[in-house]
Amino acid sequence: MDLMELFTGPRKGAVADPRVARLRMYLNNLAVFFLVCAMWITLSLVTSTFATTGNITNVLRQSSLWSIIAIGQTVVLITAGIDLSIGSVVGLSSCIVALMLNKGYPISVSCVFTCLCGLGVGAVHAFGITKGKLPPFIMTLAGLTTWFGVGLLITGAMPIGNLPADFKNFSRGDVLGIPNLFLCVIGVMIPTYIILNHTRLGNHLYSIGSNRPGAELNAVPVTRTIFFAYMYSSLLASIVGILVAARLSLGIASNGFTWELQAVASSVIGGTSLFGAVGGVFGPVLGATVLSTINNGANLLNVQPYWQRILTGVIIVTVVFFDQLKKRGK
Amino acid sequence: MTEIVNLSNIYKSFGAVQALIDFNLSINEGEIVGLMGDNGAGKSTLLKILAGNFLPTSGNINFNGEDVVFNNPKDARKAGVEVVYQDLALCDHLTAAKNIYLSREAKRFGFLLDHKKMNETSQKLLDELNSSARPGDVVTGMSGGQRQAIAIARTRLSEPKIVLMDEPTAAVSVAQVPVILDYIRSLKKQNHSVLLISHRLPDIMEVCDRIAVMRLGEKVCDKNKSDCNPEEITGLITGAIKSA
Ligand SMILES: Nc1ncnc2c1ncn2[C@@H]1O[C@H](COP(=O)(O)OP(=O)(O)OP(=O)(O)O)[C@@H](O)[C@H]1O
Ligand SMILES: [Mg+2]
Repeated sequence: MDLMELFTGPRKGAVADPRVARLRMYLNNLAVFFLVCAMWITLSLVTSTFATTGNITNVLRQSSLWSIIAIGQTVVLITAGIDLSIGSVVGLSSCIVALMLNKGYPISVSCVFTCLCGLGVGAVHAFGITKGKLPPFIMTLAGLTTWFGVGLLITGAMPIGNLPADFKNFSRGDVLGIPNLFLCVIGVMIPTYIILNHTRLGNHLYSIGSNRPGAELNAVPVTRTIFFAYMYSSLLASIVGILVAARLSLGIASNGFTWELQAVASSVIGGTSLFGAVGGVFGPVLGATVLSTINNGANLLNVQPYWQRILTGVIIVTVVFFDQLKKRGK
Repeated sequence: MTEIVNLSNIYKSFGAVQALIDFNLSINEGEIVGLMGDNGAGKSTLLKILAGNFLPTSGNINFNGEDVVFNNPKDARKAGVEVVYQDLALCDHLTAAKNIYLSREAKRFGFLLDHKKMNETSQKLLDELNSSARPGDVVTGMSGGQRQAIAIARTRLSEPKIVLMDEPTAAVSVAQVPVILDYIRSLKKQNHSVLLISHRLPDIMEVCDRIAVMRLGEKVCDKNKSDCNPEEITGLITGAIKSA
């Protein structure tokens, strides 16, 4: 195994050792993991409030929500697409579920219906991208404003409160000490891991990101696979919308505002390539934890929370810059 | 002998470009037909029509005795067409085995990938082609010959009626050319037909039963190999000889 490959990528003409590629992904995740540890230790030392149960739970709740949408974003990024509508879909879903609960529908019915709406939203995006041949960023950028508008419209731009106690308790509850929100992350990670690594669908997602015309020539069902990617991303955004409504006891269209970029940033910090065909499930979860730690740390250190947004932009540009260098090197 | 493919009056235009003009070609069972022509003559376009990649602008395709319309590569593959594309259509980020099995991945328990089976079979197929490519390696960084072997190995996953090959010897080493030509002969022995596109006249002369030459989208020659001589073929390709 040629360890130089780790830093340079495979030399031209040399066979790429998949073990090295895997190791690089693993090392990236390990580095991000150590970054999280370093941040946590530092924050514990310099603030008296970070290392409290209440605060850590808070960080983990925030990171759970971002992890779920980051996993959805990753699935789309693997196909060399992008989903910029996530934030609005989170907001819209929180409105839908809150309105339904308000009208007295049972929690289960409200949640299932909201998820179906999410799937519908994803299908609309995929339809525009495959049948309408629109670039993913245009289609989902249009989705970003459209679904926000729909959310405002159905709520009259008012926050929808008065949600049932059982619903609100879910986001604070736990099973055997494991917070429910974290269980949701696990519940998303496991099937996504299986899909990406052990199913034909997963192989097709990567093949489309790697060489879409080539995949088409090999009879890969490209349209169907792209539908899956965007519907999955929107479904996860809807689930997060429901969880946010439960956590804040509020459905409002501005829930999830700019979270699509948190999802992109989490994903690329976790080693996903914006150029497609590279990404897994652990990276985005670690990336989301980095971002939520920065967010929380900024609050505790009395830094203006707006810095976190600026930092997100800087992180995206920096990580993608290096990713692109690696690509050009080949 | 049974006719496997009969193309009649095929036209194909891309905007103002006439890539194929009134093209006719028939290929029998177990026959190896060589297709030659200058760059841009329309060879790959013809292949892609048979592979379901393009629909012809007009014309008829008869496949195995039936008139067919191949709307996509899947239709063609189902009918028994296997293809080695000129650009190979490989996914650089996937392993050799996953490329070979792309869109017909082996499964266990109905939905999980059978990585072991895909790797083992791929190893066998690559060995048969005398390739040093390893099934578990990703394609990025592989040599031209290794990539070619992967693209050829794909055609061995089914029992095709015809294998279409677009310049399968263009990027491979001198030592590997005979291996690929042997493979083409072995297809014939199993009664599969082959359409071989190549710029290398020696390869064509060595394995083909019949040679067709096209120029600017038209067929200018279609003869049994025994009736062809290399100078004439070269003249037809360059346009020095108008038709034969
Ligand atoms: N997808 C396409 N869109 C537009 N024009 C095309 C397309 N494919 C091929 N052409 C045109 O059709 C003509 C024939 O191209 P084709 O690729 O079939 O040639 P070829 O005989 O395979 O050449 P080569 O030996 O270089 O591979 C060319 O003029 C080419 O520019
Ligand atoms: Mg060609």
